[in-house]
Amino acid sequence: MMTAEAPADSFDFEVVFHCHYRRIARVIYRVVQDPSRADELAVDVFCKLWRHSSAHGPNAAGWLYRSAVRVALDELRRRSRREKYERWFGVSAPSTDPERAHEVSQERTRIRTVLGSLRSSDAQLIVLRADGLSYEELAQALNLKPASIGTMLRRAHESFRKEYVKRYGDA
Amino acid sequence: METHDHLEEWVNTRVAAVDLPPGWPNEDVARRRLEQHIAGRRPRRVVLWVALTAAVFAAFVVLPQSRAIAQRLWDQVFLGRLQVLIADGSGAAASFFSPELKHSPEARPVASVEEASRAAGYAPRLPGPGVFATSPRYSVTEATSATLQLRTPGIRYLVARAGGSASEVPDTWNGALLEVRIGPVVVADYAGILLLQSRPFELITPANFDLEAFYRIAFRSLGISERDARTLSTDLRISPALLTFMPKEDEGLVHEFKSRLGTGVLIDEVYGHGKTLAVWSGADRLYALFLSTGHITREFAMEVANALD
Repeated sequence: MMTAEAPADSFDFEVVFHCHYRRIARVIYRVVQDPSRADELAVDVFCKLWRHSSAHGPNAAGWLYRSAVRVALDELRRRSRREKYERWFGVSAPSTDPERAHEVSQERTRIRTVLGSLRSSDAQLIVLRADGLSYEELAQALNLKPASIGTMLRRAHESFRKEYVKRYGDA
Repeated sequence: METHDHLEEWVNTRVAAVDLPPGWPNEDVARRRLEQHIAGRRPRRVVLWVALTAAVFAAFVVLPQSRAIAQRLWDQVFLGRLQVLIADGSGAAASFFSPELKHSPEARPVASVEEASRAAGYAPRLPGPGVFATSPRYSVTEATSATLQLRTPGIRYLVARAGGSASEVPDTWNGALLEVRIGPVVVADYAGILLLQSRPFELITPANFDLEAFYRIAFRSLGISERDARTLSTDLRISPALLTFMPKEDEGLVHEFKSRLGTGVLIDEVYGHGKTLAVWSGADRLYALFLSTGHITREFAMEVANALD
Protein backbone atom coordinates (compact mmCIF):
# COMPACT_ATOMS: atom_id res chain seq x y z
CA MET A 1 0.00 0.00 0.00
CA MET A 2 2.72 2.44 0.92
CA THR A 3 4.31 3.30 -2.37
CA ALA A 4 7.78 4.36 -1.41
CA GLU A 5 10.55 1.99 -0.56
CA ALA A 6 9.50 -0.02 2.44
CA PRO A 7 11.57 -0.35 5.57
CA ALA A 8 14.00 -3.22 5.35
CA ASP A 9 12.79 -4.94 8.49
CA SER A 10 9.78 -7.16 8.85
CA PHE A 11 7.88 -4.52 10.76
CA ASP A 12 4.27 -4.32 9.56
CA PHE A 13 3.71 -0.63 9.16
CA GLU A 14 0.24 -1.16 7.71
CA VAL A 15 -0.97 -2.93 10.80
CA VAL A 16 0.51 -0.36 13.12
CA PHE A 17 -1.07 2.45 11.14
CA HIS A 18 -4.44 0.77 11.11
CA CYS A 19 -4.35 0.00 14.81
CA HIS A 20 -3.12 3.34 16.07
CA TYR A 21 -3.81 6.16 13.65
CA ARG A 22 -7.17 7.17 15.04
CA ARG A 23 -5.99 7.19 18.59
CA ILE A 24 -2.80 9.08 17.79
CA ALA A 25 -4.78 11.71 15.90
CA ARG A 26 -7.20 11.95 18.81
CA VAL A 27 -4.43 12.41 21.35
CA ILE A 28 -2.94 15.23 19.29
CA TYR A 29 -6.35 16.77 18.81
CA ARG A 30 -6.94 16.88 22.56
CA VAL A 31 -3.95 19.17 22.83
CA VAL A 32 -4.07 21.29 19.68
CA GLN A 33 -7.89 21.20 19.28
CA ASP A 34 -7.64 21.80 15.57
CA PRO A 35 -8.62 18.73 13.52
CA SER A 36 -6.80 19.79 10.36
CA ARG A 37 -3.59 20.44 12.21
CA ALA A 38 -4.03 17.29 14.29
CA ASP A 39 -4.32 15.28 11.08
CA GLU A 40 -1.15 16.82 9.68
CA LEU A 41 0.78 16.23 12.85
CA ALA A 42 -0.46 12.66 13.17
CA VAL A 43 0.65 11.92 9.63
CA ASP A 44 4.01 13.50 10.42
CA VAL A 45 4.37 11.18 13.41
CA PHE A 46 3.69 8.10 11.29
CA CYS A 47 6.00 9.37 8.62
CA LYS A 48 8.76 9.62 11.20
CA LEU A 49 7.97 6.12 12.38
CA TRP A 50 8.26 4.91 8.80
CA ARG A 51 11.71 6.40 8.51
CA HIS A 52 13.01 5.49 11.95
CA SER A 53 13.69 1.82 11.81
CA SER A 54 14.96 1.93 15.38
CA ALA A 55 11.39 2.61 16.47
CA HIS A 56 10.09 -0.45 14.67
CA GLY A 57 9.41 -3.17 17.16
CA PRO A 58 7.09 -4.28 19.91
CA ASN A 59 7.00 -0.86 21.52
CA ALA A 60 6.22 1.09 18.38
CA ALA A 61 2.94 2.12 19.97
CA GLY A 62 4.77 3.65 22.90
CA TRP A 63 7.03 5.51 20.50
CA LEU A 64 3.99 6.80 18.67
CA TYR A 65 2.27 8.06 21.81
CA ARG A 66 5.37 9.80 23.08
CA SER A 67 5.95 11.40 19.72
CA ALA A 68 2.31 12.39 19.36
CA VAL A 69 2.15 14.23 22.64
CA ARG A 70 5.54 15.82 22.04
CA VAL A 71 4.61 17.20 18.62
CA ALA A 72 1.28 18.39 19.97
CA LEU A 73 2.95 20.28 22.80
CA ASP A 74 5.53 21.68 20.41
CA GLU A 75 2.68 22.90 18.27
CA LEU A 76 1.14 24.68 21.24
CA ARG A 77 4.43 26.41 21.93
CA ARG A 78 4.86 27.39 18.33
CA ARG A 79 1.43 28.90 18.38
CA SER A 80 2.30 30.79 21.49
CA ARG A 81 5.45 32.06 19.84
CA ARG A 82 3.59 33.02 16.72
CA GLU A 83 1.06 34.98 18.75
CA LYS A 84 3.94 36.71 20.45
CA TYR A 85 5.43 37.71 17.12
CA GLU A 86 2.09 38.98 16.01
CA ARG A 87 1.93 41.21 19.04
CA TRP A 88 5.41 42.54 18.38
CA PHE A 89 4.75 43.24 14.77
CA GLY A 90 1.67 45.14 15.73
CA VAL A 91 -0.65 43.13 13.59
CA SER A 92 -3.12 40.38 14.15
CA ALA A 93 -2.83 37.39 11.91
CA PRO A 94 -6.00 36.62 10.04
CA SER A 95 -7.37 33.20 10.65
CA THR A 96 -6.37 30.88 7.84
CA ASP A 97 -8.05 27.80 9.14
CA PRO A 98 -11.79 27.69 8.80
CA GLU A 99 -11.99 25.77 12.02
CA ARG A 100 -10.43 28.69 13.76
CA ALA A 101 -13.23 30.87 12.55
CA HIS A 102 -15.48 28.99 14.92
CA GLU A 103 -12.96 29.56 17.63
CA VAL A 104 -12.93 26.96 20.29
CA SER A 105 -14.62 27.80 23.49
CA GLN A 106 -12.93 29.71 26.21
CA GLU A 107 -12.62 26.53 28.20
CA ARG A 108 -10.75 24.82 25.40
CA THR A 109 -8.37 27.72 25.20
CA ARG A 110 -7.82 27.46 28.91
CA ILE A 111 -7.04 23.76 28.66
CA ARG A 112 -4.52 24.38 25.90
CA THR A 113 -2.90 27.14 27.87
CA VAL A 114 -2.62 25.05 31.00
CA LEU A 115 -1.32 21.99 29.16
CA GLY A 116 1.22 24.11 27.37
CA SER A 117 2.49 25.52 30.63
CA LEU A 118 3.07 22.17 32.30
CA ARG A 119 6.19 20.05 32.18
CA SER A 120 6.07 17.88 29.10
CA SER A 121 6.15 14.71 31.18
CA ASP A 122 3.09 15.84 33.15
CA ALA A 123 1.22 16.91 30.04
CA GLN A 124 1.97 13.59 28.39
CA LEU A 125 0.56 11.64 31.30
CA ILE A 126 -2.56 13.78 31.50
CA VAL A 127 -3.38 13.66 27.81
CA LEU A 128 -2.78 9.96 27.37
CA ARG A 129 -4.68 9.12 30.54
CA ALA A 130 -7.57 11.29 29.42
CA ASP A 131 -7.65 9.30 26.22
CA GLY A 132 -8.19 6.16 28.22
CA LEU A 133 -4.77 4.56 28.52
CA SER A 134 -4.44 2.25 31.48
CA TYR A 135 -1.60 2.54 33.98
CA GLU A 136 0.10 -0.35 32.25
CA GLU A 137 -0.29 1.24 28.83
CA LEU A 138 0.97 4.53 30.17
CA ALA A 139 4.05 2.84 31.59
CA GLN A 140 4.73 1.15 28.30
CA ALA A 141 4.08 4.24 26.21
CA LEU A 142 6.22 6.53 28.30
CA ASN A 143 8.94 4.09 29.29
CA LEU A 144 8.10 4.38 32.96
CA LYS A 145 7.98 1.86 35.78
CA PRO A 146 4.40 0.66 36.22
CA ALA A 147 4.68 1.03 39.97
CA SER A 148 5.45 4.73 39.70
CA ILE A 149 2.60 5.64 37.37
CA GLY A 150 0.04 6.27 40.10
CA THR A 151 2.25 8.72 41.95
CA MET A 152 3.39 10.49 38.81
CA LEU A 153 -0.11 10.74 37.47
CA ARG A 154 -1.41 12.21 40.69
CA ARG A 155 1.36 14.79 40.69
CA ALA A 156 0.60 15.62 37.08
CA HIS A 157 -3.09 16.05 37.85
CA GLU A 158 -2.29 18.21 40.86
CA SER A 159 -0.01 20.37 38.73
CA PHE A 160 -2.74 20.73 36.15
CA ARG A 161 -5.34 21.79 38.67
CA LYS A 162 -2.98 24.11 40.50
CA GLU A 163 -2.08 25.86 37.25
CA TYR A 164 -5.68 25.96 36.13
CA VAL A 165 -6.94 27.41 39.40
CA LYS A 166 -4.08 29.89 39.54
CA ARG A 167 -4.99 31.21 36.12
CA TYR A 168 -8.74 30.92 36.02
CA GLY A 169 -10.01 30.17 39.49
CA ASP A 170 -11.77 27.03 40.56
CA ALA A 171 -14.36 27.17 37.81
CA MET B 1 -9.08 14.69 51.91
CA GLU B 2 -9.68 14.53 48.22
CA THR B 3 -8.96 11.22 46.56
CA HIS B 4 -7.01 10.92 43.38
CA ASP B 5 -10.12 9.59 41.70
CA HIS B 6 -11.90 12.86 42.33
CA LEU B 7 -8.92 14.86 41.20
CA GLU B 8 -8.57 12.77 38.07
CA GLU B 9 -12.23 13.19 37.31
CA TRP B 10 -11.85 16.95 37.73
CA VAL B 11 -8.97 17.00 35.25
CA ASN B 12 -10.47 14.56 32.80
CA THR B 13 -13.73 16.42 32.76
CA ARG B 14 -11.80 19.26 31.24
CA VAL B 15 -9.15 17.57 29.14
CA ALA B 16 -11.27 14.76 27.78
CA ALA B 17 -14.34 16.87 27.24
CA VAL B 18 -13.13 18.03 23.84
CA ASP B 19 -15.69 16.78 21.37
CA LEU B 20 -14.32 15.18 18.26
CA PRO B 21 -15.65 16.54 14.98
CA PRO B 22 -18.15 14.11 13.39
CA GLY B 23 -16.44 11.56 11.18
CA TRP B 24 -12.99 12.60 12.29
CA PRO B 25 -10.33 11.37 12.01
CA ASN B 26 -10.68 9.85 8.59
CA GLU B 27 -8.16 7.05 8.35
CA ASP B 28 -8.39 6.74 4.57
CA VAL B 29 -7.65 10.40 4.02
CA ALA B 30 -4.77 10.17 6.44
CA ARG B 31 -3.41 7.12 4.67
CA ARG B 32 -3.41 8.89 1.32
CA ARG B 33 -1.71 11.86 2.84
CA LEU B 34 0.87 9.64 4.43
CA GLU B 35 1.56 7.91 1.15
CA GLN B 36 2.13 11.27 -0.52
CA HIS B 37 4.29 12.28 2.37
CA ILE B 38 6.42 9.19 2.16
CA ALA B 39 6.67 9.48 -1.59
CA GLY B 40 7.88 13.03 -1.21
CA ARG B 41 4.83 14.54 -2.82
CA ARG B 42 3.35 16.15 0.20
CA PRO B 43 0.76 18.66 -0.97
CA ARG B 44 1.66 22.15 0.00
CA ARG B 45 -0.72 24.32 1.86
CA VAL B 46 0.12 27.53 0.15
CA VAL B 47 -1.20 30.35 2.20
CA LEU B 48 -0.49 33.73 0.74
CA TRP B 49 -0.86 36.30 3.38
CA VAL B 50 -0.01 39.13 1.11
CA ALA B 51 -1.49 41.81 3.22
CA LEU B 52 -0.22 40.27 6.37
CA THR B 53 3.22 39.76 4.94
CA ALA B 54 3.31 43.32 3.88
CA ALA B 55 2.35 44.23 7.38
CA VAL B 56 5.14 42.13 8.76
CA PHE B 57 7.51 43.76 6.37
CA ALA B 58 6.20 47.11 7.30
CA ALA B 59 6.60 46.38 10.93
CA PHE B 60 10.37 46.29 10.84
CA VAL B 61 10.27 49.87 11.84
CA VAL B 62 12.65 52.16 13.57
CA LEU B 63 10.91 51.78 16.87
CA PRO B 64 11.71 49.16 19.45
CA GLN B 65 9.00 46.60 19.69
CA SER B 66 9.62 44.26 22.47
CA ARG B 67 8.97 43.18 25.95
CA ALA B 68 10.99 43.92 29.03
CA ILE B 69 14.24 42.11 29.57
CA ALA B 70 14.40 40.94 33.14
CA GLN B 71 17.76 39.19 33.09
CA ARG B 72 19.51 41.90 31.10
CA LEU B 73 21.19 39.41 28.85
CA TRP B 74 21.23 40.28 25.24
CA ASP B 75 23.10 39.77 22.04
CA GLN B 76 23.27 41.97 19.06
CA VAL B 77 23.17 41.14 15.40
CA PHE B 78 24.16 44.23 13.48
CA LEU B 79 22.76 44.36 10.01
CA GLY B 80 23.66 47.66 8.51
CA ARG B 81 20.32 49.27 8.14
CA LEU B 82 18.48 46.50 9.87
CA GLN B 83 19.30 45.62 13.42
CA VAL B 84 17.99 42.70 15.40
CA LEU B 85 18.54 42.58 19.12
CA ILE B 86 18.24 39.21 20.70
CA ALA B 87 17.15 39.69 24.25
CA ASP B 88 16.53 37.38 27.12
CA GLY B 89 13.82 37.88 29.62
CA SER B 90 10.18 38.29 30.19
CA GLY B 91 7.81 41.07 30.92
CA ALA B 92 5.59 43.43 29.09
CA ALA B 93 7.39 46.56 27.96
CA ALA B 94 6.08 45.93 24.46
CA SER B 95 2.92 47.92 24.97
CA PHE B 96 4.96 51.02 25.71
CA PHE B 97 7.13 50.79 22.62
CA SER B 98 5.13 48.91 20.02
CA PRO B 99 3.66 51.05 17.28
CA GLU B 100 0.26 50.12 15.99
CA LEU B 101 -0.55 49.92 12.33
CA LYS B 102 -3.39 52.24 11.39
CA HIS B 103 -4.65 49.58 9.07
CA SER B 104 -3.27 46.46 7.46
CA PRO B 105 -2.25 47.40 3.96
CA GLU B 106 -4.18 45.63 1.26
CA ALA B 107 -2.43 44.23 -1.76
CA ARG B 108 -4.04 45.20 -5.05
CA PRO B 109 -3.15 42.96 -7.98
CA VAL B 110 -1.67 44.73 -10.98
CA ALA B 111 -1.17 43.39 -14.46
CA SER B 112 2.46 44.25 -15.08
CA VAL B 113 5.63 45.59 -13.59
CA GLU B 114 4.95 48.92 -15.31
CA GLU B 115 1.62 49.18 -13.58
CA ALA B 116 3.27 48.22 -10.31
CA SER B 117 5.75 51.07 -10.85
CA ARG B 118 2.97 53.55 -11.45
CA ALA B 119 1.01 52.40 -8.42
CA ALA B 120 4.00 52.39 -6.09
CA GLY B 121 5.69 55.51 -7.39
CA TYR B 122 8.99 53.77 -7.92
CA ALA B 123 10.32 51.05 -10.20
CA PRO B 124 10.66 47.71 -8.44
CA ARG B 125 13.96 45.94 -8.78
CA LEU B 126 13.64 42.34 -9.80
CA PRO B 127 16.09 39.51 -10.25
CA GLY B 128 16.95 38.39 -13.72
CA PRO B 129 15.78 35.12 -15.20
CA GLY B 130 17.04 31.95 -13.58
CA VAL B 131 16.65 32.96 -9.95
CA PHE B 132 13.02 31.95 -9.76
CA ALA B 133 11.46 29.18 -11.77
CA THR B 134 8.38 31.16 -12.69
CA SER B 135 7.39 34.64 -13.78
CA PRO B 136 5.95 36.79 -11.03
CA ARG B 137 2.49 38.08 -10.49
CA TYR B 138 2.47 41.58 -9.08
CA SER B 139 0.51 43.43 -6.50
CA VAL B 140 1.03 46.68 -4.67
CA THR B 141 0.01 47.47 -1.15
CA GLU B 142 -1.15 50.94 -0.33
CA ALA B 143 0.91 53.15 1.92
CA THR B 144 0.17 52.92 5.58
CA SER B 145 1.65 54.04 8.83
CA ALA B 146 2.21 52.87 12.34
CA THR B 147 1.97 55.15 15.32
CA LEU B 148 3.18 55.09 18.85
CA GLN B 149 1.89 57.44 21.51
CA LEU B 150 4.27 57.69 24.42
CA ARG B 151 3.05 57.24 27.98
CA THR B 152 5.62 58.55 30.39
CA PRO B 153 4.26 57.00 33.63
CA GLY B 154 4.74 53.51 32.26
CA ILE B 155 8.10 54.29 30.68
CA ARG B 156 9.32 55.83 33.94
CA TYR B 157 8.29 52.73 35.80
CA LEU B 158 10.21 50.52 33.37
CA VAL B 159 13.32 52.71 33.50
CA ALA B 160 13.28 52.72 37.29
CA ARG B 161 12.76 48.98 37.40
CA ALA B 162 15.79 48.54 35.16
CA GLY B 163 17.91 50.57 37.57
CA GLY B 164 17.71 53.93 35.83
CA SER B 165 16.27 57.21 36.95
CA ALA B 166 12.65 58.00 36.17
CA SER B 167 13.59 61.68 35.87
CA GLU B 168 15.41 60.90 32.61
CA VAL B 169 12.04 60.65 30.90
CA PRO B 170 10.98 64.20 29.95
CA ASP B 171 7.49 65.37 30.83
CA THR B 172 7.08 66.61 27.28
CA TRP B 173 7.09 63.06 26.00
CA ASN B 174 3.77 62.23 27.55
CA GLY B 175 1.29 61.89 24.72
CA ALA B 176 3.92 62.53 22.05
CA LEU B 177 3.11 60.77 18.81
CA LEU B 178 5.73 59.03 16.68
CA GLU B 179 4.68 57.95 13.23
CA VAL B 180 6.35 55.62 10.79
CA ARG B 181 5.22 55.99 7.21
CA ILE B 182 5.43 52.77 5.28
CA GLY B 183 5.18 51.76 1.69
CA PRO B 184 3.73 51.41 -0.83
CA VAL B 185 5.10 47.90 -0.99
CA VAL B 186 5.50 46.07 -4.29
CA VAL B 187 4.90 42.35 -3.99
CA ALA B 188 6.25 40.02 -6.66
CA ASP B 189 4.73 36.58 -6.19
CA TYR B 190 6.83 33.79 -7.65
CA ALA B 191 4.47 30.85 -7.14
CA GLY B 192 4.28 31.31 -3.40
CA ILE B 193 7.66 32.93 -2.84
CA LEU B 194 7.00 36.57 -2.20
CA LEU B 195 9.60 39.23 -2.86
CA LEU B 196 8.55 42.49 -1.23
CA GLN B 197 10.21 45.85 -1.53
CA SER B 198 9.65 49.35 -0.37
CA ARG B 199 11.46 52.62 -0.25
CA PRO B 200 12.91 53.30 3.19
CA PHE B 201 10.32 54.04 5.81
CA GLU B 202 9.96 57.54 7.14
CA LEU B 203 9.86 58.41 10.80
CA ILE B 204 7.93 61.49 11.84
CA THR B 205 8.45 62.86 15.33
CA PRO B 206 7.39 66.02 17.13
CA ALA B 207 9.64 69.03 16.49
CA ASN B 208 12.87 68.90 18.47
CA PHE B 209 12.15 65.40 19.67
CA ASP B 210 15.34 63.86 21.01
CA LEU B 211 15.34 60.57 19.15
CA GLU B 212 18.67 59.46 20.53
CA ALA B 213 17.37 59.92 24.07
CA PHE B 214 14.24 58.04 23.15
CA TYR B 215 16.24 55.08 21.90
CA ARG B 216 18.45 55.13 24.96
CA ILE B 217 15.51 55.18 27.33
CA ALA B 218 13.72 52.50 25.37
CA PHE B 219 16.79 50.28 25.58
CA ARG B 220 17.11 51.01 29.28
CA SER B 221 13.46 50.15 29.77
CA LEU B 222 14.13 46.84 28.12
CA GLY B 223 16.90 46.13 30.61
CA ILE B 224 19.94 46.90 28.48
CA SER B 225 22.79 48.47 30.46
CA GLU B 226 23.24 52.22 30.43
CA ARG B 227 26.56 51.97 28.65
CA ASP B 228 25.26 49.70 25.93
CA ALA B 229 22.05 51.68 25.60
CA ARG B 230 24.13 54.82 24.97
CA THR B 231 26.29 53.09 22.39
CA LEU B 232 23.31 51.68 20.54
CA SER B 233 21.33 54.89 20.58
CA THR B 234 24.30 56.87 19.29
CA ASP B 235 24.73 54.38 16.47
CA LEU B 236 21.08 54.68 15.61
CA ARG B 237 21.22 58.46 15.57
CA ILE B 238 24.18 58.42 13.20
CA SER B 239 22.79 55.69 10.99
CA PRO B 240 19.10 55.14 11.56
CA ALA B 241 18.41 51.45 11.39
CA LEU B 242 15.36 49.30 11.26
CA LEU B 243 15.09 47.66 14.59
CA THR B 244 13.32 44.69 16.01
CA PHE B 245 13.75 42.39 18.95
CA MET B 246 13.80 38.65 19.33
CA PRO B 247 13.66 36.77 22.59
CA LYS B 248 16.68 34.74 23.58
CA GLU B 249 14.67 31.54 23.38
CA ASP B 250 14.18 32.16 19.66
CA GLU B 251 17.80 32.96 18.97
CA GLY B 252 18.15 29.77 16.96
CA LEU B 253 15.50 31.00 14.55
CA VAL B 254 17.51 34.04 13.53
CA HIS B 255 20.33 33.65 11.03
CA GLU B 256 22.50 36.06 9.16
CA PHE B 257 23.32 35.80 5.51
CA LYS B 258 25.80 37.75 3.47
CA SER B 259 25.26 39.27 0.10
CA ARG B 260 27.06 41.89 -1.91
CA LEU B 261 24.63 44.42 -0.44
CA GLY B 262 25.70 43.63 3.09
CA THR B 263 24.25 41.45 5.80
CA GLY B 264 20.65 40.30 5.91
CA VAL B 265 18.68 38.30 8.38
CA LEU B 266 16.60 35.17 8.07
CA ILE B 267 13.89 34.55 10.63
CA ASP B 268 12.39 31.09 10.72
CA GLU B 269 8.88 30.37 11.89
CA VAL B 270 8.13 34.03 11.95
CA TYR B 271 4.45 33.31 11.53
CA GLY B 272 4.34 29.72 12.60
CA HIS B 273 5.80 26.45 11.51
CA GLY B 274 7.59 26.46 8.17
CA LYS B 275 7.30 30.14 7.45
CA THR B 276 10.52 31.98 6.84
CA LEU B 277 11.18 35.66 6.32
CA ALA B 278 14.40 37.11 4.97
CA VAL B 279 15.01 40.85 5.24
CA TRP B 280 17.80 42.98 3.89
CA SER B 281 18.39 46.45 2.60
CA GLY B 282 19.80 47.92 -0.58
CA ALA B 283 20.92 51.42 -1.41
CA ASP B 284 17.48 52.99 -1.27
CA ARG B 285 15.28 50.01 -0.81
CA LEU B 286 14.13 47.59 1.84
CA TYR B 287 13.56 44.01 0.77
CA ALA B 288 11.85 41.02 2.25
CA LEU B 289 11.49 37.50 0.99
CA PHE B 290 8.69 35.46 2.47
CA LEU B 291 7.92 31.80 2.05
CA SER B 292 4.81 30.47 3.67
CA THR B 293 5.75 26.83 3.26
CA GLY B 294 9.25 25.45 3.55
CA HIS B 295 12.37 27.24 4.58
CA ILE B 296 14.35 29.86 2.78
CA THR B 297 17.98 28.88 2.87
CA ARG B 298 20.81 31.33 3.37
CA GLU B 299 22.05 30.48 -0.09
CA PHE B 300 18.74 31.25 -1.74
CA ALA B 301 18.29 34.52 0.12
CA MET B 302 21.82 35.45 -0.86
CA GLU B 303 21.17 34.56 -4.48
CA VAL B 304 18.06 36.74 -4.60
CA ALA B 305 19.78 39.63 -2.82
CA ASN B 306 22.75 39.43 -5.15
CA ALA B 307 20.48 39.51 -8.15
CA LEU B 308 19.00 42.89 -7.13
CA ASP B 309 20.26 46.48 -7.21
